[in-house]
Amino acid sequence: MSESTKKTTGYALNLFLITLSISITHAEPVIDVPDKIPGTTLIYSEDVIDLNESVPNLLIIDSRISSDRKHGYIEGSVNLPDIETDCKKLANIITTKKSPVLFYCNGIKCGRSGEAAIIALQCGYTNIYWFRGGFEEWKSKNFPFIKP
Amino acid sequence: MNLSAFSIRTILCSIIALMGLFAFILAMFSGSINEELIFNNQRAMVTEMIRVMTHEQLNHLSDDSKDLGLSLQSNPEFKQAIKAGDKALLLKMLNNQFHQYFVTAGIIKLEQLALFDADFKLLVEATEGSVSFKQQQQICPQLFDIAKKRTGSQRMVILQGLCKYQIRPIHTVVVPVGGLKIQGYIMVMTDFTHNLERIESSLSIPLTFRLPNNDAVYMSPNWPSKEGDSLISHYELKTSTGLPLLSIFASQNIIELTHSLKQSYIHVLIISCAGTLFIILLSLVTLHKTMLKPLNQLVNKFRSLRAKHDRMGEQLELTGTKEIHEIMGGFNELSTKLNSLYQSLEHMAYTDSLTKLPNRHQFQESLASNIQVHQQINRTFTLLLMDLNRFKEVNDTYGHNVGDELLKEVSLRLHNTLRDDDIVTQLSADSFSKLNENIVARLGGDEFSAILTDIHTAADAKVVAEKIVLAMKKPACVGGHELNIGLSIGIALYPKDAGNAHDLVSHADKAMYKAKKMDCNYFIYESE
Repeated sequence: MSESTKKTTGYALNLFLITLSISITHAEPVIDVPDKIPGTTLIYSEDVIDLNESVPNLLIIDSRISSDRKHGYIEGSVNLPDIETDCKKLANIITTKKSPVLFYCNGIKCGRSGEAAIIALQCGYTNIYWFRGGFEEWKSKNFPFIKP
Repeated sequence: MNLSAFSIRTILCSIIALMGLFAFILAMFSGSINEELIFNNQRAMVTEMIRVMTHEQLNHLSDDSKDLGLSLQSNPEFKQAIKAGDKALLLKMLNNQFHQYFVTAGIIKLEQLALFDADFKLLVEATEGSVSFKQQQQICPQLFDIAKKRTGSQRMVILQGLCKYQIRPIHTVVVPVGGLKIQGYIMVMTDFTHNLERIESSLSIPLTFRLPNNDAVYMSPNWPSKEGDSLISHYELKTSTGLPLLSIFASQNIIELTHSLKQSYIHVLIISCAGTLFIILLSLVTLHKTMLKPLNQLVNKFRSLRAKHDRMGEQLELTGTKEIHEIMGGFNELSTKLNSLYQSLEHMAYTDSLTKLPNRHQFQESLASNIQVHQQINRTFTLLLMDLNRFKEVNDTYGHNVGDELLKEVSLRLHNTLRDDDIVTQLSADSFSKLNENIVARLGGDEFSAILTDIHTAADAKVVAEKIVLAMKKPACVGGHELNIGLSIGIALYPKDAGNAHDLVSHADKAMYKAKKMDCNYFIYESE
């Protein structure tokens, strides 16, 4: 590939990216959050509390970015944003592949916990709980949380 | 009620006036009812606004109390103190809350902070208000019971409610402590009247909060000293169990509203009065034209008929409504028929049926009238009384039919004789009013009379008598018989011979008998 061809390709790519960014800026962000994720257990706020009592060593992972977490979080949860989630980081905080682990984020419109749960599935974790309603549902049901 | 004492005009006017009065009273009452409705609506609107804003403020308070509880339980030092069971430190931390953001910024008026363990046993409490948990074990017994009876995940739910401590209204929030493993509960108790005071500035209406015993816990500095010019709205805040907790009163200045209502009320009254008057006038004019005027005509016609019989037969001009037309048409028809009947009766009453001459009744009336008139004008008239000679014999010999025919012949000759000379005019149908004219009448049987108004002297009377005698001289052919007519005439002059009817007739009668006795056809009365 010649230098000029590279340049042209670079411009074209830049133009495409700019166009894409403009269209993203102006269009409503469409996040395709599934109703359930096969291989994970869908749970609600009350289940979080019950699970915490019935399942020893339940690890609660807050998949939100740190700026979202500043608005409050479920006590005892560990922050690992979905964009940083990979098998290695998961392995650092989850004891075994069979260990119970729960993912949540802001709410049903937030796809982060789902993304993180899928990554965990791909990494071979088998005991995954997905709290789809997230922090929004938690607050609306008047459960306590930590205010940083 | 005897309505016959009133005229139809009076009754109709009274009814219309009563209707007008009713409309006026209705307008007055509807004005006050309308005013009351407006005030009620205003009250209901303000009460609803207070209700909405009260619940908004209570929701904010719940959030703020919850935030206080959550921020406290999120404090690692607090967590550590709970874990270690360090009550002194916990108490210190609770007390500190009375000097921190939520209180010092005036967001809430904190009355008490209490910390319980997971089984709701009191660990520590902090208070700077008058409420003391030690004095009264249960500030919010219902909320406390609900909180204690919860199981499973429900124990984690943050509870809130309104309670009554002694008589004071308290807002309480119960925040679980310890995250997913409950270690206890923080109870945040606040005086929510502090928060409700904000409604006043939002609504710009003075407020007063009163406890159920009527003690004022807050009274706006702008609360009016006189409540007469104010519209007081009232919203009662109750606990979840329905106990009265706090009465919120709002005072609206209604001077301007009352003024504008009064103005519109006066306008309505003026319009309704003018409208009513217009309708009354219109009704009266219509009634006058269609009913009252025609009825008055009818009544006046009846009155005039009653007063003067000769007006009988006069017709009414048909006016008014269909019904009035029918009545007036009926009246006209009846009037015509009555007139005809009356005339026929009158004719019968004043006329001799056999000879068609005026009868004794008319003669007497005519004589009286003539005396009256002639007395006034100081003039003389002559009275003749006439009697057939041997008329009884005619009746007895030839029968009454012949006698009657003879009388008719005599009447005709008398009439013709006196008419030919323009002396006597037979009474016509309307001559009742011309009683001073000449008259020849049959007084009954074979007796006749004549009043001669143009004969003023005995000499003239004598001439007339001779003419009558001459007229009777020719024998009468009656029923195939030829009969001689003999007539005796008595003459008397008014006022020379008598000044009244009775004496005048009596003197003429005497003269007539004298003529009969003397067989001299006629005799002029001479005073003895």
